[in-house]
Amino acid sequence: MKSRFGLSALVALAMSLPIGLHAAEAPTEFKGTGKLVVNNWGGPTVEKMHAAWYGDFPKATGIDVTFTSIPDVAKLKIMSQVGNVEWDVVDFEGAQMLQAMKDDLLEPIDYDLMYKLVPKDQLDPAQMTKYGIGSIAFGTIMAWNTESVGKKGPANWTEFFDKKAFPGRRALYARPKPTLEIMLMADGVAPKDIYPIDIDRAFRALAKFGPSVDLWVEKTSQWDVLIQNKEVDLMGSSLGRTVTQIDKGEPLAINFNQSIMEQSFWTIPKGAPNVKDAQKLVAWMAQAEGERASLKLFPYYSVANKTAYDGLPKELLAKMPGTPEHSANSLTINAQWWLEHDAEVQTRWLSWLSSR
Amino acid sequence: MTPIDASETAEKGKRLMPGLPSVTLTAWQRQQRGLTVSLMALPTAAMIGVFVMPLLVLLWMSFGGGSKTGFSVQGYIDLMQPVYLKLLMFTLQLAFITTMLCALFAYPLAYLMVNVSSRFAAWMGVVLFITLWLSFLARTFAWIIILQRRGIINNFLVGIGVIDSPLELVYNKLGAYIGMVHILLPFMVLTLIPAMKAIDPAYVRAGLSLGASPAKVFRDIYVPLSLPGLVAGSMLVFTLAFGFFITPAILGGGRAPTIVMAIRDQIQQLGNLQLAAATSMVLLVFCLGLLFLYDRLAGIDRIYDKGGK
Repeated sequence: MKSRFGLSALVALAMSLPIGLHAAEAPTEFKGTGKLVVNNWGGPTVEKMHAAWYGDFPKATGIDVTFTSIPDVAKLKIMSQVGNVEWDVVDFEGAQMLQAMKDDLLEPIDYDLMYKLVPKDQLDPAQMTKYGIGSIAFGTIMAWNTESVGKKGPANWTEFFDKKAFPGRRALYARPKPTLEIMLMADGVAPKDIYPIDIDRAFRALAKFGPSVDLWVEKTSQWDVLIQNKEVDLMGSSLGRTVTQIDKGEPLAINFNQSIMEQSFWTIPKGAPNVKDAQKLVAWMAQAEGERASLKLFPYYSVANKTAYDGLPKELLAKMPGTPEHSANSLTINAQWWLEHDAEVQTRWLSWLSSR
Repeated sequence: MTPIDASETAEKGKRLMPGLPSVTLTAWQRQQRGLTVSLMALPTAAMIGVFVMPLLVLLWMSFGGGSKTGFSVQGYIDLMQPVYLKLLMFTLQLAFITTMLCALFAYPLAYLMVNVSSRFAAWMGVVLFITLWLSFLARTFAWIIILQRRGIINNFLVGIGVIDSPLELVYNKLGAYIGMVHILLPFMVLTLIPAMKAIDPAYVRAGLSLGASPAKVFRDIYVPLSLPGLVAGSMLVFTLAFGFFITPAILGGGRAPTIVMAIRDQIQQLGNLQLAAATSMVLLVFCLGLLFLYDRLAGIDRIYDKGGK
């Protein structure tokens, strides 16, 4: 699974942040004594990330927070079957959340409690669902090596696969999501017309463009290795990983056109040891200050609190996929579609992969 | 305690105290028997708790146990798709070739370690063990550094002018094989060593003194006597290679998809535990079938007869 936080360069950024955001005492309904276990995607900078999100939640409320990784619906399902759920808050991807909802594994978010802390009009309704509120988004963008490909890279996925215009080696994720979306866009489908995915057309496009992919990437951590060693020239890579490598001085350029965003959500498992305090933490994390701090750490422009973007420096906003000019032609993963079609697509994908 | 059925005790009695009649048990025999039973209790419980129970749970899950849909053979029906056969065949091929290559490289290595001075052998052993301590993932990424387009080997070969453009050494099946053989080689060497050590050098000397050529002695005496180690080693390596996941996934660059990747997707992407359990059961039965076949061909019981004596 992908780990989102392998961004050691951003540690430096993190250090420069004022942490200790919620100096004020918490309202009485947020007081508690328990301990919460938060499950998210782990990685080397996760401690800074948590510090930004929770701020002084433990100090203000008296509720202790620890964390584990990695969100896994199957694991939660088994924990729930044997009646021993270990996680209080889980950072699920959209499709994972829906899968967990299908198996009735989640507790509804207590929005009334949240509104006591965060004004309702600050929150983005698009990221508020019954069982989860937006945490961050995971981005896949096209990137290229400016030394081997040139300053001007592909403008869209069709050009990305044009071997005449851009000679070089290409890499994509070894997963049908978002490869099918990429294939359709390369085949000329506009981002807004991708869903519902025409599976047959997507696999026809895969048969056409797939062979020009030299390397299928299994783990997100591979991007660092591939970029540093210049193993590939063009890639559909992780936004966070790529931006980190650019900040480290790697000769890369990225393009937000037809970029792909996948929204993740804070969820609370049903039967969690401490549902009440978990609700308090999820509400706490929706506050603007914490989300702003986490945005500064990681350029994922998709947090639930809209006011988190206020006062961020221009050059930081320029890196984020969600600014108006960047988001105009980007694609958001349709988690519902994937939930319904994953089994069918997965088999065809493996069949394609194993027949080469 | 009542007297125990003679036919049952006869076998055990012979093993415990050969030569004693065992129609009725003496007090000493009874005590001995009690001791055996109590000593066996813990390993038996461990066997059941750690190995048998999980397998039974897996079998139960493969028929839909614990799922909302109730019992069905749907998991096995879903497995009928040709893609699974294709993945299985490739995984078998990968495991088989890896085992063969490991045997090929490990045999001379183990021979060397058994027959050179013990200090040198100890050093070789340390080196082998150190590679076992390093994580699979670290070793996998280390191979990338060596094999990649601008890796050590390609830079060297291009530098001295042997080749014009870098060789494709990794992110294909070749890379997957290199990584797997490297990771599994120590297992083969370490199983071969005791088997080779158990070979009495007198046999070899006898063969030589009777006029056989060294090659003939090696072929007709040494190799057959070391076979139990080779059998055990290949079984170990084959079984490990069969379940390998991360190394072929990363070094194969999407060109070496194994059946374990399908199981991973079934669990993590689809949340279909029944299908994953069914796939695992089929793999298990398949592996058992292969072991059975191997037993008929090479004789697994040799491992207990000669190895490690």
